[in-house]
Parts: sequence; C-alpha cells; structure tokens
Amino acid sequence: MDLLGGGVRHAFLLIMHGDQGVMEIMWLSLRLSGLATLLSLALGIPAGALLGLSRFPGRNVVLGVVNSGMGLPPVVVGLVVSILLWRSGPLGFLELLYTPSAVVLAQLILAFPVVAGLTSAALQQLDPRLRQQLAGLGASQLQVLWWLMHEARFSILAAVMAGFGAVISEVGASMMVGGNILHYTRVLTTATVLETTKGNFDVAIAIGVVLLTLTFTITMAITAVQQRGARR
Amino acid sequence: MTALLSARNLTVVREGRSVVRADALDVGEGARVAIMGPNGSGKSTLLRLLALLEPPTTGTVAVRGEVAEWHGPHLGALRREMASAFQAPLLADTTVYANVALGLRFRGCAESDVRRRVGGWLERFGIGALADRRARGLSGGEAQRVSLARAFAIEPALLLLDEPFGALDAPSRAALLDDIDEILRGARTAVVFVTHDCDEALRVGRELVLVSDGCVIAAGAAADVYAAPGTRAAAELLGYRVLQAPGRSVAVPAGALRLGVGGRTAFDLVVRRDVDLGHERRLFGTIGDVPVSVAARPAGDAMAPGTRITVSTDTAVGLDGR
Repeated sequence: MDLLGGGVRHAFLLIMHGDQGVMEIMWLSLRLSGLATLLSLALGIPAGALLGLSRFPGRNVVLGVVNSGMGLPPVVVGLVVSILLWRSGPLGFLELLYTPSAVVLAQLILAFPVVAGLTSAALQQLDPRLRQQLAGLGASQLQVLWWLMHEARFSILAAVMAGFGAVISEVGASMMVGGNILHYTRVLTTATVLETTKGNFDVAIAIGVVLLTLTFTITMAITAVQQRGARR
Repeated sequence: MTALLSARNLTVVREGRSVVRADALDVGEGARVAIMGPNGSGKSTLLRLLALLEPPTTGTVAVRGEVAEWHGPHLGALRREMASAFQAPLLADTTVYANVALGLRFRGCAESDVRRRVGGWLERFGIGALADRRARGLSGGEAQRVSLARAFAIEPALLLLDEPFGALDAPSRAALLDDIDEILRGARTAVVFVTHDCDEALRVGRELVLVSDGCVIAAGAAADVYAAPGTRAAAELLGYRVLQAPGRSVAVPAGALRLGVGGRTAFDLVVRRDVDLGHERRLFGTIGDVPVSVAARPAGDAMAPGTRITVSTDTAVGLDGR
C-alpha cells in the first residue's frame, strides 16, 4: 500500500508541477490517438452508414467481419502492421515502422471496426419508414443521410467514445509498431509498461493517473455534448 | 392537357404475388383524389409508387408528362413537386418548428421565407404555441398536426397523405378532419389521400379510386362512383349491403331498408334479434346470408328469432351481375 500511496503522491506532484516528460508523453498520446480516432470516424461512419442502410450481396458477411473486428486483439494488429511495414514487407518501402504514423495506422485499424460496427447498429435501429418520410419531404440522399445521423446521434457519439477508448488505452500495437521511442512514439500506455518494468512504480502510477484523467475528461466532454442534445 | 401526375400500367409483384395493379390513374392540378380500400389492399403501396418513393415492378409514373426514372438524375426534382405524410407522424427529434421547416430547408428556401411559411402553417393547424416544443414530447394528435403542417408548408403541387387520421382517437380525428377540410378549400394543391374509411374518402375526396386486393376496381368522380359502384366488391367497400333481388344483385345503402313493401325493391328478412335501443327498436337479421338491420315500429310485440318479414327500399342500385 505504501508503494501505491507514494506513487499516487508522486503522481500528484508530477501533474501539479506539469512535469515536462509526462506532459510531452500525454500530448503525444492525445495527438496520435486523437488523429487515429478522427480518421476512424472519417472512414468508419460512412462505412457504417453503408452497412446499416444499404443492401448488397455479401453485406452480412462484411457486417460479421466488422463486428468481429470490434474485439481485435491489439497485439495481433501490431503483429500484422509490423509485418506489413517491415523493411522487406509489402509496405516496407514507406519506411513507416517505428514512426508515429505506424502507431496511428495500427490504432486506426483497431478503432475502425468499433466505429463502423456501432454506427451501422445505430442506423439500423431507426424506424425504416423515416428514410421514406424524409425522401417524401424532398430530401436528397445526402440530406436523408444527414438526418438519419442526426436521429442516431447519441449512439454515434457512443461509437466515438468507444473508438477513442479503444485506442487511447491499447498498448500492444503501439509498442510493437511504434517501438516506444522517447520523444517520438512513446505514449502513455507504453511509458507505463516501461516504467513498471524498470521498477519506477511512482512514475508508472503517475502516468497511469494521467491516462485515466485524460480518458475521463475527454469522455466526459463527449458525454456532455451527447446529453445536452438529449435535453434540448 | 397533361395531368399533374399520371400512372400507367403499374404493377408491384412481391414474392411472386401481385400487390398492386393499376392500369391508368391521373391526378389533375388541384384535384382531390381519395384512394380507398380495406387494410392490406395495397393502397399504401400504390401511394408510395405515386410519391416516387418506391419503384414499381412494371409501369410508369409521370409528373407533368415527365416519366420518372428510378435511378435517373431527375427523380429528386420530380419528388420535390410533391410532399408526403404518413399514418405515423415520423417526426425528427428536434423542435416542432424545425420539423415543419424540414421540407422547405431541403429545397433551399431562404430563412425569411421559411420563417413566414412555417409560422403561417403552424397557425393554420392550430399548433403555433408548440413551435419551440420538442417533437418527441407531443401527443398523437399534436404530432399528426405537425406532420401534416410539415407537408403542407412545402406548398407543393401535390400532397400525398397516407391514412393521416388513422392513428388518432375519434375527437382528435374529427377536429383534424374539420381543419383539413377548411385548409384544402383555400389551397390549390392537389391531394391524393389514402383511407379505409368511406366517410373520410367521400368527405375529403372529389374523386374516388377504390382498391381491392391490389387492383383498382373503380375510379371516377366520387359522386358517380358512389351512385354506381358497378361491382359487388366496390359496393361493399362503399358500405352498401349487397343483396339478392329477384334475378339480380343490388346494392342498398346501410340504413335505407324499411319495414313493409312500400319501397320499389322488396326482400325477405329473417329476424335474428329484436333489440330495444331506448330511442328506437331495431331488428337485426339476415337477407340471404347478408347481415342487415332495420328500424321496427316502436310499439308492437317483440319479434321472435326466425320470424320472416318483408322489408323494402327505394334506393337499390343495380350491380353488374358479377
């Protein structure tokens, strides 16, 4: 318990003093996971809309694959992305392995199925007659899509939270494809692992607390947006 | 003159079963057409075909002479000549005002125009006070008024209404029907209106299209169709009792039978029950196998079940012997 108490105290001091090392890792985590989440929204929401609203041969298979993807183990993603980006691998010429881009790519692969799967489920929950009603009022296809997303916005915001939660908290893929390089690809989760293996529990706890605070703050902010919409 | 909307040889086949068949259906500018049929007769599907919300299996729908192509570039523009409202209000989860503004905003109307028209139509439907309310918190009657105001606010050439009063309780329905009547009197918009209720159809429609088992079985001016339904199916839809007179089938309006042989056409009625309703005595029975009722003389002895009496009417309409 002393270890934990001391760790929390140290964490508090580190955070209060805005420890440069911790802050830098936090910003990098936020930037990489934020970018991965945004990209997963940009790709996952349209893909989810397509899966949720249209019918095409093989749709159920694709939907099944996407839904299974929600539970992708990060280390497997890390392994596959590593192989792809390995110098002799098919995308080796891009020279992305052990770069922040590789971390974003791996996190994008983790978040995409979450966002696409939940978006598709959210849109499928809507009354199917609503599409026809909107078209019957003269809506273009894009306007129909916009209003269906509006109707499903609470669930889609939940998809955003789930996507962000999946990538900010994963460690396996970031470690494998990013290499945990200080000032470059070291993020909160990989730093926690490193400090723990070094026996620096106080620093590890401090980083863990920062990670929790960050996740909590961002999720709370999205929840606030979601619930303000619900009350209006 | 080109009709506002004209449908030709429409069919819809689902799982090998014919759901809709309409050879020719025209809606002129400013027309008021009621499509009437029992539940499940395909009338709502027919309306969705006319609204260009569903493609027919075969046949065409043309708006002012331009045939709609389902994947063509003009489908959206043709749809924007019309507006639809359905039995379920299907309001968006936003304010009443924003709901009524939807169709206008879809059409890119200027905000000042949207404000003026939405304000006006909310007032006309008696829901001006609800403008800032969330649509999700409204009662069924209020929500249906919002749904109709939303369609009317577009002021399209053609309104397509699918059982707009179907889900309402009797008082809300009567009040809304009164308002619609008043509103339609002042509007130049053409209306196609689907209902299973004969009174609604005759009250709102100037023209009547009768649908049974997916087929249009009668169409024309409402008064003409009502006066001469032609077939048994059409007569039954219009609320007539179809009875067997010597040598022919005739349609008799409910309530047009009276005791005795005074009318031009007479029938044998077998009494099943003699009921004292307080203000009148009524005999319930059958003519052939058709259930009918007729007012009895207030005084007099109760009639025993099985008693055969003669009833007659002056308003029997001949049917095509089908």
